[in-house]
Amino acid sequence: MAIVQSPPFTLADAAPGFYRCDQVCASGQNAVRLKRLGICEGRTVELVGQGDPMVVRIGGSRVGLSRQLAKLVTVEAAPSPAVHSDVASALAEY
Amino acid sequence: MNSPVANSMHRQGDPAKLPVVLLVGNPNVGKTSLFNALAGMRAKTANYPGITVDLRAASLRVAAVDDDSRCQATTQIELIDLPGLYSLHTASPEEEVAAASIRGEMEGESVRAPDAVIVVVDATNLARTLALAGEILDLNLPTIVAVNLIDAAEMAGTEIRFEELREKLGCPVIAVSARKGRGLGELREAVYELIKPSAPILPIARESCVANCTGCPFAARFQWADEVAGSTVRELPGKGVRLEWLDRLLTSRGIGLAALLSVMLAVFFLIFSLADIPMSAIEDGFGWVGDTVGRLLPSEPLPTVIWLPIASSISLAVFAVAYWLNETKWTRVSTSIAAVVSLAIGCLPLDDFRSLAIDGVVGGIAGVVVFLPQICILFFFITLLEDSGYMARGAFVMERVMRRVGLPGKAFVPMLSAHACAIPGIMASRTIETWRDRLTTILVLPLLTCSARLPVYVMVAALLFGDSPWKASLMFAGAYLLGLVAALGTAFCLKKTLFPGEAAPLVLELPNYRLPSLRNAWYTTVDRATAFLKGAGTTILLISVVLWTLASYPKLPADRTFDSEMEQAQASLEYSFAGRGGRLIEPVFRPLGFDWKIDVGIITSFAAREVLVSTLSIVYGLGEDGAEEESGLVETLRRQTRPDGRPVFSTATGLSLLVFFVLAMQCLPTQVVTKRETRSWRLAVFQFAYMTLLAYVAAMIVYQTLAAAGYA
Repeated sequence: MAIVQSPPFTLADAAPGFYRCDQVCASGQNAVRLKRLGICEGRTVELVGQGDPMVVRIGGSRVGLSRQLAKLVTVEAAPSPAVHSDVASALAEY
Repeated sequence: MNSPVANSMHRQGDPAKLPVVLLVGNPNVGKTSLFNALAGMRAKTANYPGITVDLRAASLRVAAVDDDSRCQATTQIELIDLPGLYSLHTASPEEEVAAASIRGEMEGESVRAPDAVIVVVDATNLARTLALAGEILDLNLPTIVAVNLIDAAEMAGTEIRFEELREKLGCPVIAVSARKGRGLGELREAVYELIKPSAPILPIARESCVANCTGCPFAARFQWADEVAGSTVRELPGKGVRLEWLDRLLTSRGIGLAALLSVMLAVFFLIFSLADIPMSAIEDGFGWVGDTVGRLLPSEPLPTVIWLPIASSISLAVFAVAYWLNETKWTRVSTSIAAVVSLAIGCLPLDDFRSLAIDGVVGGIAGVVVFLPQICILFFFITLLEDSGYMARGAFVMERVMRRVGLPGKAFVPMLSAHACAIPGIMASRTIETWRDRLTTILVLPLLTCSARLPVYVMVAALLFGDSPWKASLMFAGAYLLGLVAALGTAFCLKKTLFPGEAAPLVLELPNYRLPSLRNAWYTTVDRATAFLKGAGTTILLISVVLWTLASYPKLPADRTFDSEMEQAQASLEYSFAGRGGRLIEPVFRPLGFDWKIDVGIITSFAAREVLVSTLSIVYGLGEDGAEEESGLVETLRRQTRPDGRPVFSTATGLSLLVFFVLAMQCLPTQVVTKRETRSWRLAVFQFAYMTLLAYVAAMIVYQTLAAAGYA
């Protein structure tokens, strides 16, 4: 699938959908708090609910995230992953 | 780091040197359920010096696989339930304790490395929860991975190929369901196999899970976990329940907030309707105990030779129980304090001893225990809500509101709890990750209107607005609002001055919804209640004895006679240190419109604010039981006049008294719990000082304004 290349933007400016994390510019505790929940370089996140705080989905888990931190995460649009992950997220609902 | 050779040294004999097995895992993977299922009632809360975290530990037996139970080999282990953590890179004091324990770097008693680690992962979210397992496997400790919630995963159509998982992880992997009790036997066997006395001690050298990766260590971990999970988990499509719509509603702006408010209202309704019964039962029970103690004591003074040893040994016994509860060691100092005080008590006249036993000791214990029903009920429901996954949504919704005053969304649970009682509120603030956010929350919690203030509010309302129910309810609402505004305002100021910095921005896992377990809630409740009784009970008892001394000594001269017992009680309170103190501090409280009799009430309600009502009843000559007949007390109070003929309880004085009681820190148990949770007497003293000052200034403004407007 072809991905339209666009300049990197942050998770705070994104519309619901799938994104690949480019860079997490947080420092200190905030960086640890983001990354240990899976918001780190190279991982795919799905923005589920916009707002402040927003809801993102990473693999099988759902994470509430304040806008302030979302601004520190640069992302690029990513293709929605295969059916397999959809089932995984359906499972997460359980 | 870990040295397998050292492990073998403490495998036998000495119970303090039992092999230590740590239970580790992400929050929300059912780790504590698993601990409860394995340990049951044997669990005890271990309090390690210097850390703010209570670890739960249990010593239990693990056994080898053998059909014949008679020749089954067993060994005893110490299982410790560590606080949940996402990674060995930590972000809260609790996680730091967990990580340090795993690395064997805990200060104090548990300096040694663990003998084995059980990593609990979530079968319904294997990829995420395996990341921590990867980190721990890299430490080359003897490790078992317990895949919990296997029943939930199977229901949702997930298949996990355990053989492959075992191979990939290079350690035993056991499927368990803490709720259903599945796999517990296998888990015990696996633990036994790891630590059995005859186990060959081989150095463990696993291939690092992220050895070949560069860059962000977290990303590499998650990638590894994804790969492992991807190749061992197969999902059958079409099964499972979708609850996405529910989550969308509960995290939305309007409906989410409304849902939270109604859930909390329901919990509070339950607390107030359920706690009433045990609370009055406790009061009656201690009343009966007091009567019985009174009856057991001899009515005529015994010869000193007989009485002194009896009284002293009773007192020593009370000391022994208190020391045992508080885990105070019998050092030279503590032993001599107990001995000297017991001897002094043995020398007391019989009447004083009776009063000390009934009013000081039994009354003091009752004052502690009466808090238990609310603490227990609150923790029971909070744990149920937390287990169900709803609490995280509540914190998510409240984040927006709480940020305005610089507090994180998670502070809402303690703040709501504090409307029943500040003590469970302070204990519940442990969930707040950042230390300075947690301290701010703890410091402002006692400003919120707790149920112990209600008797005072009721008295003032009856006094001022007895004829107008709507004015009285307006006053009640105002008092609640004043407490809330003061708490939020103080939090805002503290975050600007003492604990500068914004609240740590929200990153919070919203765990999957689950049916909460009653057993878990029960164990947590018992745990918290014991912690409260042990930690606070002794100190509160001590202070209540001190207050009893202040209100009982010096004794009235023997030559004075009285017409009634009430008059005698009134006169002896006036004559005591507390009564003299009331007169002494009268100038201080005069700008607030209080006379010396109210000041006596302020002194005696230092430890518990609800005492004000019974003290006023005594100083105004109605006797202690006069407080039970509300109208009698209120009528008497209304009739009181100042030397110049104006009534004492004018609108100005009444409202000033109300404002003082809304804002002042008059609760010793809360102070003791503040000290316990912050590990600092200084913060407890600061809390007392700022609240008293705030109360004084606010009450003075109210009185002076109203007096100037002609309401005095």
